[in-house]
Amino acid sequence: MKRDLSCLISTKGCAVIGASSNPQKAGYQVLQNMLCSGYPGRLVPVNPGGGEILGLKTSSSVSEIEPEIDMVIYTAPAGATPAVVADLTARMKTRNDIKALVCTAAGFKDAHTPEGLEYERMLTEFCNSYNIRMLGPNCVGLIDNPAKIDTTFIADITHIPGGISFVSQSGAIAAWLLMSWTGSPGQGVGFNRIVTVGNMADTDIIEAMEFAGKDDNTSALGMYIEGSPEARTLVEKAGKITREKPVVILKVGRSEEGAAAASSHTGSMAGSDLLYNAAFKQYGILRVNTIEELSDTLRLFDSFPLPSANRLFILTQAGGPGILCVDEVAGSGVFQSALIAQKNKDALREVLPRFASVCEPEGHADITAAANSEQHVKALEILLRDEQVDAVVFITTATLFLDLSDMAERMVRLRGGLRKEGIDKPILPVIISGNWVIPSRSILEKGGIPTYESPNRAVKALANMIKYSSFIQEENCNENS
Amino acid sequence: MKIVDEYPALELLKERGIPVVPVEIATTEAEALTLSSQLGYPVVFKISSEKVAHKTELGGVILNIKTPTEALSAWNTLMERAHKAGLSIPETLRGIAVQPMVKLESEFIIGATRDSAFGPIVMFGLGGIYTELYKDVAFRLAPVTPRQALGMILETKAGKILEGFRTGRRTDPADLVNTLVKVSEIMADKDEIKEIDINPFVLTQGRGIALDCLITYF
Repeated sequence: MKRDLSCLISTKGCAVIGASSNPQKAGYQVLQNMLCSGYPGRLVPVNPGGGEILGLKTSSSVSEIEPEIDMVIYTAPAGATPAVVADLTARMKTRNDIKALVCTAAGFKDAHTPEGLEYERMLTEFCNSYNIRMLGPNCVGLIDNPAKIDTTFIADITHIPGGISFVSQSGAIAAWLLMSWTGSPGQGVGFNRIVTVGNMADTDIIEAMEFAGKDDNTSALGMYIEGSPEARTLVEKAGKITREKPVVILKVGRSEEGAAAASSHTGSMAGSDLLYNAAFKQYGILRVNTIEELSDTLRLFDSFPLPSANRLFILTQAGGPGILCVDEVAGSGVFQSALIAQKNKDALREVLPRFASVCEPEGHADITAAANSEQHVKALEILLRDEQVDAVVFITTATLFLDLSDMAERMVRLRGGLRKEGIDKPILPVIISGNWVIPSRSILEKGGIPTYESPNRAVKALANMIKYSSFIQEENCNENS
Repeated sequence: MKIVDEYPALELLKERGIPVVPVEIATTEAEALTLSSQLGYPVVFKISSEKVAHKTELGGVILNIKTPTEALSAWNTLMERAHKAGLSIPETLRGIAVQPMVKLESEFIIGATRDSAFGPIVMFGLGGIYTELYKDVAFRLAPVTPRQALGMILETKAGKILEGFRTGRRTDPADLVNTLVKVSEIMADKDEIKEIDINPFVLTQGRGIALDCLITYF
């Protein structure tokens, strides 16, 4: 029986094979990221050259390291495999302490050469014979914020603990997501665990999914998948996770088998991409089409509780962006307009500028560019307090006379105050646009309210949340009936 | 790979509780006449042979036979076509399948296939000549629950027909739901089946029945 993947995060001593003092090498950047993540164990660079790297004393081989080593990161070229396996085998024969191997090197099965295949076979055989769990080869390994470990060589990661976990068949997609978070207005997005699987010589996408998805610190699981020959197992196991928390999948690529498989009507149209769609729908798994939608959706799930229903209010200070939003809402087909109480319509008219259009149509208010920051947030408060409202998309376009930072601070305070009263509904601010609005978006994001580049992106994320919420409600209803 | 043609395929569906059109095999002219009057005119005659999966390609189906005279002439026509195709009773021709002519109100396809990655799959879609064009189909992994089957139906535009699009009459989808569930269960139970193709499954006078079916075994 293979040991479970917790050995990847319970590490006390880690050797980095291929560690380098050259910042242009992955073997330098992996050490750097391990240090940045605050790795609490003993970190030992392995390099026959000797000396120190990043202030850490090197060792010439893994077998010579004195303290306990339970994890090895392999960043040396694939060609070093025979020597690496010999060194690690020597260590296991004497110390028998390694439990996990992260192979970030490429040039194995991914190279499609006889040597590459042989190296991968050697490495896998070594791991199997000593019950060592491996990630990769050809991956960027994992990041776990609570365990303070980062085996990747991804640039510019902000290690903030949060509830999002992400499992990827592509290291570059993981890098994209993480770097975009550092570049977001709040300069970082909290996350829990990132796992990349590379060639999946040992740990496959399904096991990685369960490792990240079932972790108690994970509130929302994202995945990037290119397809799996065990697609059924994947969706069935993902379907178990969706009972507890949302699973959002960016699925790319189409396998040819479905279309070619059959001659009848049934078979000729059962293209396997259609089957992914169908299976995801059946198991309440959300499919997204872009990195932006993936990120927006995961962040929304991690920031707000599920709304109780789909009644949306669009609060806009500008005509055009508000109409874009209405179109996107109509196109999604999952929302109802929130029908607020007459007294709240009156209250909105009371606080807003005289030309404001309130609930014409229902579920929509155009508060006009004359509205100041206080009026924006007072209107928002009236809506959030109305029992008919489940979520609010809040759109405003910067003007030179609107104090956006004050507005953002008031919004963060409003949410904090309402939460104490037990009211916490998704608020999706869209502040248009560009560099000018970054400071206010930063205030919101640091205050726990993600912001959106456009009304369309906000609505897509919220539509995903509503779909998940109604799936869960239907499932629960079905179980109780 | 073995294809099971209409008559035994419909028998299998019937055994599993799926509503199918009544069908009897006549091996003589006299039997064909008796069965026709028992089932009630108008009737349909079809060549029934395990060698023939696609009967219409041989001209092996004659619809809307209204009288014994028409029945005799249909019998002769089909026998001639069967002989031309090298089929004879009993070796390669089971006989002529006699069915009542069903007034079609709407046609659907209920199918199932076995995908190499996803395993058993059940499918629902619009039937008739535009099936391939509109690709108005819904898939689920088999087996499905009645609620999931209903979800498949409502997901398609074909589902709108049930809600009374154009006719204004709502149709109870119970027979469709039941059939989808049963087909999905057959598919999940029997690994030896590669495909099931009920085409068409029709609604007539508020009931749903399978009019034709092919089952492909590995």
